[in-house]
Amino acid sequence: MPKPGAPPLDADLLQGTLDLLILQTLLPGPAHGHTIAHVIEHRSDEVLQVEHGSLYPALHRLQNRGWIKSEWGPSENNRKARFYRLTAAGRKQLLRQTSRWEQLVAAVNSVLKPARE
Amino acid sequence: MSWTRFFQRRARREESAAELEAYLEAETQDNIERGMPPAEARRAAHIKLGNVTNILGNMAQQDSVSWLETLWQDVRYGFRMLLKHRGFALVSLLTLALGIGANTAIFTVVDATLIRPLPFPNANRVVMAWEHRMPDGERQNVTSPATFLRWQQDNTVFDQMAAIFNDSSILSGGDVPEQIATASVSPNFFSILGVNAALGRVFVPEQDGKSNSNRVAVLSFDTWQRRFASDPGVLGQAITLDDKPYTVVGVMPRGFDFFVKQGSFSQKKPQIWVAMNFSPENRTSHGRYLQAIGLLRQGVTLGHAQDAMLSLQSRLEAEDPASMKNWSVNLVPLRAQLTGEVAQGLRLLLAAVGMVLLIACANVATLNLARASARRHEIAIRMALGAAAKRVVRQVLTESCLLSLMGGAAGFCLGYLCLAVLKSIAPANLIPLDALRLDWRVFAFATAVSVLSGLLFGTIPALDAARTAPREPLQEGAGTVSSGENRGVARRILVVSEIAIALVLLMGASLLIRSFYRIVAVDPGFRPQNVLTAWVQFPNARYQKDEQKNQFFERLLDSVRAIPGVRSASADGFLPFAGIIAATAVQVEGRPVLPISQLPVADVSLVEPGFFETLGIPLISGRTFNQSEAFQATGNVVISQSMAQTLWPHEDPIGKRVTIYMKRDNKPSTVIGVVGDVKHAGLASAVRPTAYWSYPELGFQFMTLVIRTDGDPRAFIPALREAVLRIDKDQPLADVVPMETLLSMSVARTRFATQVMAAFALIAFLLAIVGIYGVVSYDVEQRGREIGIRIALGAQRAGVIGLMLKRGMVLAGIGIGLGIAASLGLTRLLTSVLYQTRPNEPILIALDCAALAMVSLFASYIAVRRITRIDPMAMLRRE
Repeated sequence: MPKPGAPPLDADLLQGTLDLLILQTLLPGPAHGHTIAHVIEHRSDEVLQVEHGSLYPALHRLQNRGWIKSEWGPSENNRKARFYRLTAAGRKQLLRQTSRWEQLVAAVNSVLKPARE
Repeated sequence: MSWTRFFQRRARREESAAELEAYLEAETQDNIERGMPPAEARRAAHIKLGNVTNILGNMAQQDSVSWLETLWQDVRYGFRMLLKHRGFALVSLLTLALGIGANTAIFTVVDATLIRPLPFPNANRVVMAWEHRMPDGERQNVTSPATFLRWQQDNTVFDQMAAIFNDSSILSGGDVPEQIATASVSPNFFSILGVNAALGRVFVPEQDGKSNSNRVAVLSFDTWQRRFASDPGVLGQAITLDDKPYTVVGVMPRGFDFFVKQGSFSQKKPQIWVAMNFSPENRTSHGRYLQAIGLLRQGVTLGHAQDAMLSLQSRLEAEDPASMKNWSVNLVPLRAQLTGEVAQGLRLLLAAVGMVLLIACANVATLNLARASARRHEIAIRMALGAAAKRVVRQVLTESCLLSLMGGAAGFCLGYLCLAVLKSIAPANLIPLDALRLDWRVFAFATAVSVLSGLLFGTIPALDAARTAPREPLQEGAGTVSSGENRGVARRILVVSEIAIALVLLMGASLLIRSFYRIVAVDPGFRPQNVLTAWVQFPNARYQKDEQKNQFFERLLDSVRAIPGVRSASADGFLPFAGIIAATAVQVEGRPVLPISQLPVADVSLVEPGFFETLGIPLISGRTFNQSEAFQATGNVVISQSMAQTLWPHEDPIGKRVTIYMKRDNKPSTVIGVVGDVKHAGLASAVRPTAYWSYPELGFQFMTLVIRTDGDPRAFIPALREAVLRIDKDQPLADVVPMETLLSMSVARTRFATQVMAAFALIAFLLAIVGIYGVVSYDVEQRGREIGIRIALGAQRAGVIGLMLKRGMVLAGIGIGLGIAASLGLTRLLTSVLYQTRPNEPILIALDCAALAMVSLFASYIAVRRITRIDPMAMLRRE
């Protein structure tokens, strides 16, 4: 549940952010779509609300670009689920995008700072 | 985008659906664990996921190759639009097809004839060497053995030279004896051309043609197939030509032929080559009958060779003035020689067909421009409804391409048809029919030009319309036509040029047609109807004595005359329209003796009694030969009217004596009669003075039978063959053809060129009409509102129609004016192929202009006619 004073943000707000989050989620190991959505929401203290509907097209897109791979396997409760895994290209992309993200944050911060003071 | 994804998209869609199902189950499970009832849990999961169909659609979008799918949409839409505007589509298609088809066909012929390399490896270095009878006589005259041998021996510019004598021989030994075209060639002939035998060998200079005892022959591929059933064992076999044995040493490759008609005795492509052998008594300087070819030394130019041969020729003249005075030398490159006859005609056709293509392009452009401005409205509406400009332009482009591709395909089929028609109407030996293949390069070129013009004129206006603010054309539809006026000018210019070009073609064609009819209307000087002709040639060995030949003809003519239905029969040495004649100098008795080269020249032929009566050549004075002159030489001669006028302008020639330099003894002959002139060399040729001797005077080895029959002469062919074989079973008949066929063959080439030209003119004419119809009907459409107002205000419909017609006629008038100016310049190029027809005959110009004007008026009227159906109120309300 979102906390008061911190309204939920749509992960689509910044284009490419969702991709970055997905790739980051997959860094420790393979996961299926449901898990990915929950992990993102959980880690961001529910601030980032993944529109579950847009998660799947995003996964599809990342796979088409060769950054992730998928295979069918049994889920935790032994159902059939599609597991996604980072590829080497995906790892590189994650690094690139993370650093670009940090640049962006820094830049935005430096623009915003004078207003805060 | 990837093609693999595109083609797996169905499987991937199923997978995605399964994945979403798996998500829903997992989420439902979570919700149940949080304490929701199962139904509620499932519902909440669905809410959280969102619209499954949308998600799947989103994913599928990524798998599709989107431009391809929208292209397909565009194509379908394009087809619908073309179907909707059937008239426009059909006319464009036809225009493209005609332009592309005609060009493909003609260029294919040009390519096969003029452009493709000759099938002789040394072709670029081979030249023909002719003697040139000065001062303005035949430039390509055959030469004598003595001259040729000196050329061969003393020239400084050729690696080798070879002589050729195109002959006609009897090939016997099979079931039926056969008259066959042969060539006697110097043994190095094949190596000069650089061509080897397909089977066996060609002649070897050191061993073949050395003596009479060692006779060798090389067969053409066709003869080998036809007469020897493609038997490889033919090598070393003996064949009999003119009763003499020859050994076959080789077979030439399929399609090999080398035939220069000029100076040829047989007038046909040789089927068998034999090695030439100059016996000492053959090396004479009188009697010119050899063609000569030479292989230029590496690095020697034609001009240099010509100079060197000229100085050699003047040396020969100094040595032997009697036979060499006034005989110069003329070198002609092989390609020019082989294609010279048709090259000019082909260039003419190429120019004509190029004009057809121009008109076709102009038409496609005009049609597209008309459509594009009509479309401004449609485009404006689509863009007002939110269509992207890029998308709209692409749609128009797709449509143009579609039309162009279909036009190209139709053009290709049409080109194929045209080629088939050309092949069927082309006279034999005019173009290398076997080498005709639909030429892809020119097809690609013609298609590209038409397609480009379609794209250019279809798309640029669309781009323009898409760029314009959508509001403007919507308003425009309700009022002025101002901004459409610019495009109107472009279309008018195109139509005016179309009409001008069409007029040029029309003038060219009508000149050729008029000239052709003037040629066929020429009186040949005899009556060709119901006359059958057949070539008879004796082998030298069997008929050596004059009596034998005389007897043969006496018996043959007797038995032919006995065939029921035969009115009369006779024979002639050189039949009119058969292509050959012998010419010589003549000296009138009692006049100053001049050198041979300065004497008047006359054609000479030999005839059997009854020849003039049989062919219907009128007797003007004196008498023709009687039966007794069929058996012995009496020294009498019958001359043609023009010979009488040339030699005895103001005297009665009967009883006068003249020496005709063709016999060994050269005794004078006595003129016993004068007959009418005959157009011997063809209807368009000038009449030449001609002398006729009776057959025994020279006793040729060949004669042509002429038989006047009741009814169709073809019906008498079997009886004639039988009559000949009854007399000599080894004696073949060749070239059995009605005289009328010979006559029509002699104009076949002119007829062919005229037909093709007329076809092009017709196409151009039709296309120009379509063009003017398009412009005028577009005008009417654009001015619908104006017309409505005029009529509503009381203008007479007839007056409005007249006004619109005038606009069309002004265009036609300008086009015709320009066309006249252009044709006056261009038709002069036709002068050399026209017969008694000036390139600027006022009547023809008037007729052509009138025809074009009339038809333009008609096309405009059809376009304008719809004004009569306009309801002024409805028209005003619609706007």
